[in-house]
Amino acid sequence: MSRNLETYKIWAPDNALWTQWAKPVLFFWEPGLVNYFKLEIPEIKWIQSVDTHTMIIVDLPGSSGVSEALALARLGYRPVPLYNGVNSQTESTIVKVADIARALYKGADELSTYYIRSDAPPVFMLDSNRMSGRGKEPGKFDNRWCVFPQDMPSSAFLIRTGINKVIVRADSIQNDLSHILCRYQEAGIEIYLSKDEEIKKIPVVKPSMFKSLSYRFKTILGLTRNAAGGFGGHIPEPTQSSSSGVRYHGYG
Amino acid sequence: MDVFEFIIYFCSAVYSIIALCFWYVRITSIWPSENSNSIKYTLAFLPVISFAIILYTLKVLASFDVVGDIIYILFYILLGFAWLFIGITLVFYFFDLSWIDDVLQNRNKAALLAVSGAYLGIVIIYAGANVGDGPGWWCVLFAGGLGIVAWFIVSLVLNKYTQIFERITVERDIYCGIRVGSYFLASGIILARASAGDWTSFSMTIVEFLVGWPVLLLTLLAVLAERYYINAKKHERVENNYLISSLCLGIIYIIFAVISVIMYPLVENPIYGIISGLSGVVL
Repeated sequence: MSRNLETYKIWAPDNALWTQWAKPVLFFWEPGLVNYFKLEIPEIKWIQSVDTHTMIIVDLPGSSGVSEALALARLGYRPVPLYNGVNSQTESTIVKVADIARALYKGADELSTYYIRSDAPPVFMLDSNRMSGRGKEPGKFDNRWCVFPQDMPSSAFLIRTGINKVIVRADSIQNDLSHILCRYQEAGIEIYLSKDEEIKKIPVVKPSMFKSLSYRFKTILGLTRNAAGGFGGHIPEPTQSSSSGVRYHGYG
Repeated sequence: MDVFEFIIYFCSAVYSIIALCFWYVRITSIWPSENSNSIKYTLAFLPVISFAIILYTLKVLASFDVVGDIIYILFYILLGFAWLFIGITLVFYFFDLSWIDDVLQNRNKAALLAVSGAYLGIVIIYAGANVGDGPGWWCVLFAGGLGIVAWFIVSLVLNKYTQIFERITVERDIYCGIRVGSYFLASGIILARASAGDWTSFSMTIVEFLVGWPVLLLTLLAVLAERYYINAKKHERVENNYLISSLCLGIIYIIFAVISVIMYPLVENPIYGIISGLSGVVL
């Protein structure tokens, strides 16, 4: 088995209940300098032990999300990577994901030593910087991405598996995530936000275009898909400008 | 072939070839590829079966000036693929059902079944619009356009009362995928018949399109069936297996569509008999 597939399988083993939601995008290519990358797994104080009725969403910037997820895995949670932005080796990448990829590769060794039940409650891992930066900038590698309701389990599935509480580990609830959380809230699942050491129950405000059939189509139009999966692609440089607009390589 | 036809020919060819390449590149670049053979082979087979359906229609059932003309047969095949890929994009826009995101990336089998049904439904409507004599490509687009608009409307009505698209893409309900995929195909068959026939005029095409009324009955049946499954699921604690009943319902939809088509056999337009007879005398 190739190293990238092997690493992916550690994060998304075939026998785990939540593997069907794991995204392989950051495992396509092994990032460089993995051995030199320092990954520190913090001691978690905001949660003491695994609760089979609680699902966690870690929405933190960069590799800190991986560290936090590994700390939760140590308690017995199943980490599920949902990172969907392609890692490009170029400097012009809009969302820096190289450190997340390195943390995933480095953390795989650690994760493989933990005992996690196949039906353990999940920790979904997101990068809070996923939509940061200006999109579709010429000359840049646009790997911004969004999470959609289709990328996470439905409220019916969560209830069937006994989950009635969702804790979001983040500074704030991002718009794309609120589309998912609002569905959970409607189904009677309680939503909590964990910032620093405190956890408090929050009401999730219905976002615009909630349950609109064209929401995903319109959102994806503003992003750049990658042929191999996920999001990421070079935005062509303009060849000339005029009062009528900008022309791009390859598009007349 | 006039200049405008040539432009349509060229645009359809470029768009179809790019879309087909994109389709197959996407399918082959799926990673990790294990456990995804059913998805890959089903998606890979759809353009092939679509080609066979369109080719058969053009060689056997199309206008008298098309069936024997290889240039026009190729023209309508390319136009058909352009129609198909635009249709699939519209399926994403109107139904939130994406072959890339749901089927390939999320490996959602329910979405695979629904997308396959939608794909074939769109192709069959186009093939139906090619059945019968007509003076040009715009007759095909007009009659087929009526069919595809009606197809989108009835599917959206079905979703309005049963949230089928949310249940397929978010809940990944495979049984709902079977039923909806069959519904897409069955409604496509009925509306293909409605789009078929010899061309007389725009207004007559609309009048003749009304033979597709059984699609309303089919939609009503599908609404009732989906409401039943929604209520049944609400009261269960563990997920039940609805495979057999969903397959049976899917077959019932298709049989209903076939009966609807048989009910209204195509009527030969007497004007075309006169025209072809006259042209035979002149020649």
